[in-house]
Amino acid sequence: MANKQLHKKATQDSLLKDLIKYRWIYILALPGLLYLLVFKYVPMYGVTVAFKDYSSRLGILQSPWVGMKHFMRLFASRDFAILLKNTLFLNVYKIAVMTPLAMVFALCLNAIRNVYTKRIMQTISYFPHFLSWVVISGITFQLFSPYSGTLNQILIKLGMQPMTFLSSPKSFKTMLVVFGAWKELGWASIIYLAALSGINTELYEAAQIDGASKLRKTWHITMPALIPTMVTLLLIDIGRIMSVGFEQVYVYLNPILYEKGDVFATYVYRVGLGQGKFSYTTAVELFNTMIGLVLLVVANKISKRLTEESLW
Amino acid sequence: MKAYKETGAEKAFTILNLTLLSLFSLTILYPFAHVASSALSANDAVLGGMVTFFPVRPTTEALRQLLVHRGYQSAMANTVFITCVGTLMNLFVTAMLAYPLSRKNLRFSKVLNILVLLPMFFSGGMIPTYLVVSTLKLTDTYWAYLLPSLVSPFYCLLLRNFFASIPKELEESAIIDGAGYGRVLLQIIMPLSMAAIATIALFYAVDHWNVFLGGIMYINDRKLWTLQMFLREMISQSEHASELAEGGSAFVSLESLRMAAILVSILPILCVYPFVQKYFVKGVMVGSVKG
Repeated sequence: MANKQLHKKATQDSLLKDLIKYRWIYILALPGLLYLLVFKYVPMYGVTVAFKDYSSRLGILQSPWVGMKHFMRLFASRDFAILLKNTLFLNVYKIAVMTPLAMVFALCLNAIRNVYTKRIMQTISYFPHFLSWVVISGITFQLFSPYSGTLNQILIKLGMQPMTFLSSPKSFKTMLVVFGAWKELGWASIIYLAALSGINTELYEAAQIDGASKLRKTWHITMPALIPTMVTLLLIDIGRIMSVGFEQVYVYLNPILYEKGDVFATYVYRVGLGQGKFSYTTAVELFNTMIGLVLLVVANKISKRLTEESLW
Repeated sequence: MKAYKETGAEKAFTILNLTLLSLFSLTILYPFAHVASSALSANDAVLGGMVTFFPVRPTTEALRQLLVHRGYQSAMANTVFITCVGTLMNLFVTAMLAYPLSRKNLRFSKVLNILVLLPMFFSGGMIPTYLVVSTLKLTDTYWAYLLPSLVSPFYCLLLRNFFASIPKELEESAIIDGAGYGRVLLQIIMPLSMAAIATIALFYAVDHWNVFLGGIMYINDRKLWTLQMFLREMISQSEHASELAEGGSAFVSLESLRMAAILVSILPILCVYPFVQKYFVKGVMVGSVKG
């Protein structure tokens, strides 16, 4: 160990010398670093306004400290339980639906023999990923419109009542999950397809000789190869569990749906920027980030023990 | 060999598989066909829900009215400007940052990598970022669209991994021949990384084209609105409260106008995306999740 470090010191220049020798390559990094400093690291320091009473006249640094006041207000507020429930439930719902669906979709794509058919299916299924939620909301409002939408036209022709589930609080979360799956399913399967293409084909040949059926091969060779990818993606999802999807919720939300559909991100936007309660909503966001980080660390620890997969 | 003979069950599976995938594709294709044919159909056919796959009594009236609408014109011009300028800025600054990150022989490379990685796990959030942007007086300027999203740490790491896979000898021989690092990056590294660059260029361009949250956070001035903000207003407007529908001479419903606006906003992505697709699968994989 000590030897190795000594060796390292001998072959590498001292810090200052390195900086001078490679100054031009470091200068290339400057604009990017400046960006990170101003728009990523200063806001990280900016979370301190959660413990202050921010006033735009005094700025982030000069505003007076108030301790945990804003957090207390959040925990005591009636909105808190609703927001926590909606955010967690929506994201768990999403993860529970999307994870198996993306794997199955990748397997289905992979099972297509004809290269052209496969490519066309991929091209089509990746496409919605590139559209904004504003556009998708426009399309869905049109398709599911109670008067002229295709779906309700069919229902009316069949003699049934038109459905209004886009504006119904009951089906709000399911609708978001379904539209989310529709948009991201193809895209989410890319990473699994990559894992599939990395499987050693000799394994299948060996199984073939041993007389394994296609189903058994899928179960004993393909699935175990996908598990590490799935666990990694799951961990990333869990880390983001509190923060996902402002735009998706925002474009479908209206005051009637707040009770069932309002999540932390939309609340922060509405109350923070709309009503100018900067300190309070920063506290809301910080609480969010912290929960996300704790969940990530815990999930990572569990995963390390069970599957030996870890993000770090 | 009997390996290539499909059993009955396997054949059934193949048919089922193709049927399911085709149905799923149809749920994607139908909405777009519907939007396009609604945009091009006669007004009463759209309102009466008669349009499905193909235009009914085709007319370009809705498109024409959209294209002369002031709000639409400025939103489109802003969006095209932001997408072009923004993507170029993104690409250069990201590549310039990714290059030193990919050089493991630099003493500061590890520190730089951590600096880029950290914002992916811990972010200041919407409000602190807004406070920074407004303190810098960037609100209600084009800079508010360009600067806060200048470098995506994730795309930067994708590019770093790609750069790292390029043989070092190429760079070294160029340096010996007297080229500077900026030139090496521009003339050797970047041309060799076209697959990765095309991929993140598409990602950045789509992010700019679809920018919505950045707009509603930082922009009040209608003159600076983007396409998504214009669309959003159109979509959330009810038929009666529409200033749009009243503006035109020939009667065109808001619904037709909406479909025309959606169609026009999808078209550029639809045109570019299939050509870049062959790159991005590779691009995403090289820098796959674990980095």
